[in-house]
Amino acid sequence: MEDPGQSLFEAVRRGDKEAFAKLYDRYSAALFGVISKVVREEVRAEEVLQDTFLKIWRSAASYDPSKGRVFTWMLNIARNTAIDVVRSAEFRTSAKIQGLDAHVYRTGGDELREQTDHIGMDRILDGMSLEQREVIDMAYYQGWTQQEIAERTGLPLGTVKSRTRAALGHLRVALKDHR
Amino acid sequence: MNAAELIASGLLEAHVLGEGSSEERALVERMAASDHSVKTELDAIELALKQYAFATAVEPPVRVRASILSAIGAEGSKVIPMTAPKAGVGSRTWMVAAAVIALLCSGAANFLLYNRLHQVNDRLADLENERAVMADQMQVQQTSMKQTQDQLAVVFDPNKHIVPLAGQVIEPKAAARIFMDPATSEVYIDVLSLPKPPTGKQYQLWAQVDGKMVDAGMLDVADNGEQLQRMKTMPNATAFGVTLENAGGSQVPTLTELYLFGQVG
Repeated sequence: MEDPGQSLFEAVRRGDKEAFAKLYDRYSAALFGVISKVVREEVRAEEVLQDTFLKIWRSAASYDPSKGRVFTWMLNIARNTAIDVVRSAEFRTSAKIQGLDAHVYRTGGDELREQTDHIGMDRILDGMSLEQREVIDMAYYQGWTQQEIAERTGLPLGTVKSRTRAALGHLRVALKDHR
Repeated sequence: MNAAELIASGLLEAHVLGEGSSEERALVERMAASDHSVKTELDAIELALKQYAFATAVEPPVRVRASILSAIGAEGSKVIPMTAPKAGVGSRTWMVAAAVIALLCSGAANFLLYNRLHQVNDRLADLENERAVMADQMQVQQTSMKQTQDQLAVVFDPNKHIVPLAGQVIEPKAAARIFMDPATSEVYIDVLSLPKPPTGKQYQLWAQVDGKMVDAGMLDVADNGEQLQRMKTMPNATAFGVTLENAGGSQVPTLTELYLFGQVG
């Protein structure tokens, strides 16, 4: 497994602030995309991105390369931080109050769609079955765990897992073709 | 569970997303270490998620970068101990004294300025009231002046016929003038002298048209004689008379109560 971010991350682990700035430049947009799908309120999403990178900085030493890629590690920090924010009672209340904002921001997703259009992501997603899209959307856009998706859809956990797998498999194939 | 079963179970995907129970996670890690196909599958899933994230990337606002980096900079910076500036006791005492004096002066100035502000505000309110009263008075004056001008326009109009009405037997001192516009047949009466009508009574103007007496309107009871009063338009009037009638007027003049009369021309 050759990860180009690996050496950069090693520098970050040693407390290199310049390396951290580079890390931010390289990964902030990808992580912000994931965060924005979970936290649909722009200001909140920015806060989550900030929290995510502060966590990355503070806990860089705890990253274990044997357990996976740096990006996966960062992705999960971003996802978990975002999901925590969405699930906190305070955010639920404010999301109700700011429903309009959230809506406005959601329509801002068109911007996102443009980017995905650019690389044909919509076509890739369109190639998936409705069921596959549902689990991917719930996992990604709403940030639900597979267990929660099973509870919400009433599907057996095994089915959710196999659909997630099929969806990701589809993604893998499509993205490979695309490169 | 063998490698193929694990790969098919969806546990690897959950693992990459940081999910699964601790037993599941331990299982995946154990099998990834021992089985190359599991490791390869995990890598492929991670790569797919990474590519997916990059494919759906959203550029965050620049301010977030600055904010994060400044937070990092603050965390890494050394704490600079606060050192008291070196100053002698004497100069320190003077500085305190100066500060106290400055504060007192500032307080006194504030008090004076505050009072002054109140005075100015009060004065402003007074002026505003005066202005409003004057504006009202001005309006009254303008209305009055307009009426006067209108009346003067009637009186001084060289085209108007003036018909003097003379006091009759019942009140020889009574007097009035009729202003008549031959073009429009407008009729105005200018009462010069008439006794105040008793309660329930009112003066009525009559015009003689084709030999008949026609109602030309009631004189304003409140009229003190200073106002020119506009009456009904009367074409072809040959004479005017004023009688005292019951308030509201009569159909035919009560000739025994004729106070004023005058011929046109």
